[in-house]
Amino acid sequence: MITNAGTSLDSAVRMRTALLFLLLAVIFIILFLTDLMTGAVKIPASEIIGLLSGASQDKVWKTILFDFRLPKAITAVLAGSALSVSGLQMQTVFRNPLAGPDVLGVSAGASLGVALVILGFGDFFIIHNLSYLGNWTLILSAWAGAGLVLLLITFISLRVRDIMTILILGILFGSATSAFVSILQYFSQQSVLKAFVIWSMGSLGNLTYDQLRVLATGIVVGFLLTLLTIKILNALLLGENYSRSLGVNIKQARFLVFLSTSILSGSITAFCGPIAFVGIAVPHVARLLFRTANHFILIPASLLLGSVLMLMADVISQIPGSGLLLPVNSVTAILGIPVVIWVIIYNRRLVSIS
Amino acid sequence: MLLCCIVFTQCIGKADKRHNGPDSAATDTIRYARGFNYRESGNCIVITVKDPWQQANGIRYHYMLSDTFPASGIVDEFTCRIKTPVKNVVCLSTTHIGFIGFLEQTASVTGISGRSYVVNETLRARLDSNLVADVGYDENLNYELLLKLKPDVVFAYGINSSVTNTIIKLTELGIPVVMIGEYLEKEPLAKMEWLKVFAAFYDLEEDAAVKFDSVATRYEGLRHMALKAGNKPSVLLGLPWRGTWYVSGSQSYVAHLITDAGGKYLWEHLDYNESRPMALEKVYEFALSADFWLNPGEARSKSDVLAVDERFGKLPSYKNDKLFNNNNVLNSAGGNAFFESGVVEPDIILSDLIYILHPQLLPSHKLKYYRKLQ
Repeated sequence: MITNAGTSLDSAVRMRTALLFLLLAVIFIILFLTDLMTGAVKIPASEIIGLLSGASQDKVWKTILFDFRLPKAITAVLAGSALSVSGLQMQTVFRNPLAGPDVLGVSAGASLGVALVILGFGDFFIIHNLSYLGNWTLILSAWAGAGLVLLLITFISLRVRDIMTILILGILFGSATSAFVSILQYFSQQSVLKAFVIWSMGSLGNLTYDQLRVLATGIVVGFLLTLLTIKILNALLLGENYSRSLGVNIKQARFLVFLSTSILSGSITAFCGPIAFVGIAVPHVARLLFRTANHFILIPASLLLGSVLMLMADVISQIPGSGLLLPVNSVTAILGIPVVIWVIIYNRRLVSIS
Repeated sequence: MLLCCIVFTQCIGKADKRHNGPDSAATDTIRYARGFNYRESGNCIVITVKDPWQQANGIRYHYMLSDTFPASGIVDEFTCRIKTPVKNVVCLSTTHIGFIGFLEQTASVTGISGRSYVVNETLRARLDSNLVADVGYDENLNYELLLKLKPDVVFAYGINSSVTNTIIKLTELGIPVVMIGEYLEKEPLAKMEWLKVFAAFYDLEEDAAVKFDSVATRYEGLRHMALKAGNKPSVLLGLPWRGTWYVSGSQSYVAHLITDAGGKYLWEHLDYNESRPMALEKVYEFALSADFWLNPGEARSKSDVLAVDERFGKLPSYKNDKLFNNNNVLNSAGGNAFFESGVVEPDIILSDLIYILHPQLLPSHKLKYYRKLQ
């Protein structure tokens, strides 16, 4: 239930919310530093601090810290926050607790774009070893795929009134693109197939600063659009008819939400591959912790919680000291699912969306 | 099993026309390869292929070859009788084309797998005029086309046990399949020694043994020369994919080549022969100390390498122009001769590598398979 949209929260609740944000911020900083300290190469914590403050100048470690770990940690923060926020938006718009960033089929569209390049063209241009394909090629093809699905969704959302129809159509598009990807996979050779499977497992450590700049720009644009949707989302909680009476243009509102979600999740999928689960789980945790449905609180909360979860997943995926990496997609699921199960059992039920 | 015994006795029972050449003792000895056994028994050669894929354990395929057989026949999925010389064969790997080309029997090839991979010019011309068919690959073999081609034998390979489905299916269709496991051999000369298997199908054993011995002698000579080089430059291999570097172990074919060329493989302490994933930053830490960087994926230029990850621009091997790739001979579609004729020219590959790592040892050599990335 909405408590008068953040205007007359009593001071106790206000205090609790502030404390929670403070706590999350502290956890965030600790995890960010932990993420910088863990990796396949052993670098002592004191050395990390020294490098960050400029006191130490070890060349090898400096390169590893600033060229590998820092961009990876920043990517984790961007991915976690973007996916969580777009998941929250989707759950509210569709009034469905199972909705996530990929419910519109945007990630599936991105996968199709990448599959076409890796699997489809692989046969014609013969790519034994895909490393020859530059990173940008993959990013652009994923973006193109995601953009195509977004166009389709926009077109439909302008014509179809019923939100449930849009949800079902989105899921159908997702299934159709996945089916097409399956066909491509079926006809591919093992080596390229493996390359695609690895892409579909997600990766945070692949971005260089140039790519990070582009991704960050996309995410910032997505977040700015999100800010515009907060009021709309709060109104939508009361039902579409009620929001209409509040003067919200439903079609325009939906378009804005779909656009920001697609930019957020599409960009992350393009740069990091599909990362599952974060987008569905984090909004629920945010609602439970903050005990509110107000998006003025839920959006920053999801943003922080998402970053925290993603940083945690990244730390775990390194299996510290082993020199190996687990696919980050699996870690987010393995890490996230027990959290949500605990939350459900502890609270008996998820906080309802509206 | 019973059938199998009968066939073997048959084999021994026949007159030994073949067992009279003075050279036959030489063909009996397998010097490097571990993946197959080769023995003469009566007038028939029995080739036993052992564990032809990575996880195989105790799997044996037996091929009995003789020109005295009235016709080829399949005993079961593990055993075939083949009448030699074969005149009509299908190759499912480009390395098979390399072996057959070396024996000058390319005309016998009527089917290949993946036309874009083929570099052999005779074969490409025959592909273009539809004299040779593309039979598909892995799970997508075109069985109807194979039936129509009626090959005397299909040379196949397996990445894992799923290849047994292909073998069973082809066996049911009455097409003899021969498993070739040369890719599992760790040493370049062991790989090339599979030439003796192919030669037996064409009744060219003696010829192949002589050719193999001369290549082996050259290779060993080069290796000993490179061993005497004073310094051992360290070598980084490969290119990452999505933040993970698949690192070949020190027992792998490429690692053997580098050691034989007088180089020091960066991961000489990793005692395995396949590739395993390693985190990018770990590889980078090693890479910062590498003098040379070889086989960076499909890259044809330094900018290809940067497109994958611009951080590589900081590596000393990159900055000092010590970046070489094994894709100097490509067909128009990108098929690489290194994986085709390279298998029967380990001496030339080794010369390339020695020239790269120790140019003073082979000053007049011209690179064949390797190119310097610009």
